[in-house]
Amino acid sequence: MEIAKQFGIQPILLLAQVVNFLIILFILKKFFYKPIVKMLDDRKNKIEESLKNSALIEEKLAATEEKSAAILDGARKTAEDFIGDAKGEAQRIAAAAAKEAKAQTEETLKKAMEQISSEREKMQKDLEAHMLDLVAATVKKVLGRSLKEVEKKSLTEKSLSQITKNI
Amino acid sequence: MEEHIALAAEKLFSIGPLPVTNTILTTWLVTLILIGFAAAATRRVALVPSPIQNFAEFAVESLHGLVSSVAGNKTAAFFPIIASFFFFIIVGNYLGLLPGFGTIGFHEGQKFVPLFRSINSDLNTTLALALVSVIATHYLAIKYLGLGDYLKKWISLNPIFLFVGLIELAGEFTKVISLSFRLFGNIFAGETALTTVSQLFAFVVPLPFYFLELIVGFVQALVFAMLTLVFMVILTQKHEH
Repeated sequence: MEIAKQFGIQPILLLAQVVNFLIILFILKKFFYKPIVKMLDDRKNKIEESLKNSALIEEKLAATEEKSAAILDGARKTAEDFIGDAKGEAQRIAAAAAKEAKAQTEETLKKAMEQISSEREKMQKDLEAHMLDLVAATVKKVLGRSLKEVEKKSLTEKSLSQITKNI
Repeated sequence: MEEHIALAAEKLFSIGPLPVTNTILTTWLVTLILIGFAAAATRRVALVPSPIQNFAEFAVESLHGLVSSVAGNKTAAFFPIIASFFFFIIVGNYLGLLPGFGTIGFHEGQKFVPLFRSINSDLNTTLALALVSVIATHYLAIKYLGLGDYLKKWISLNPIFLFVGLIELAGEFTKVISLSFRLFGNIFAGETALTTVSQLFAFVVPLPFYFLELIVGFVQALVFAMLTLVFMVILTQKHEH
């Protein structure tokens, strides 16, 4: 093996290099490639997961927004209903109050009228009696005598009707 | 004084039966650098990487992508071997370009013996790598195909296929030769060119050659790794007639 000698090939050197390379291979495989490749995979998974999660979060956000919009809508509708009800009620109450007030006023008015008319009647009666006395006294004085009961009465009635006409 | 680069690596000293040549010494240095870097990069593996972890991730991810684009679901088995070839060869090649390599040494009588020598400018290294590559390829082929299908690749009852199979079997041996000599030839030639040019004029003139060697060092590491990958993929595929 002249060529091998010229190139300095020696079995023991060859073996030393093979062993050396196998040591490198073993150590790098176990302590270098494995953790690094695992880390690369982990990071890749994590990024994928994060992206997936972000899509999910966006979806959830949209759903929440929709929900909150629906809730707001419902609340507005309820509020509107309430306001409508309240308005109706207020109108009803106002109308009832107005009606009651009117009725009360009318009643008061009626009472007042009645009182007035009764007062008037009373006054008339008083006046009548008074007038009667006055006429009787006058007549007595003028005629110097007392009238008979029947005369007195017809006289009174005559003058009374006249007075009443005049009033 | 003319420096002559010997084809064979020079022996520095011996540890027991092992003659420690300058390339063996450099190989150990490369090993230390690789393991040191691996240790530093993976000391605290975090989801948010440190700069050195980031660099390691970049290197591993690029190679991993390349391997998985060719190997598919066999990536997990192939990748550590391919990546180790690539990192070992490229670190060795680039380390050999540093100042001091081939120039710091001592005289042994008339002969100058450099202390460090680029690992792939020694056929022992490249031959060892090529042997590991081819043996690993065949090991994986048996693992994926089973012994029966593996043997069917080479031996057939059909005489034509038998002949083809035997030629392919011979091709497996030339694989070792071509892989080892390609790497050795490129790096050794680069070393020789750099030394020669530096001897002609040591300032500025060698610079373009250094740039060239940077490219060659990367390309040869990639070529060795990719050829190994392709051989593995081809050999672990079922033979179809």
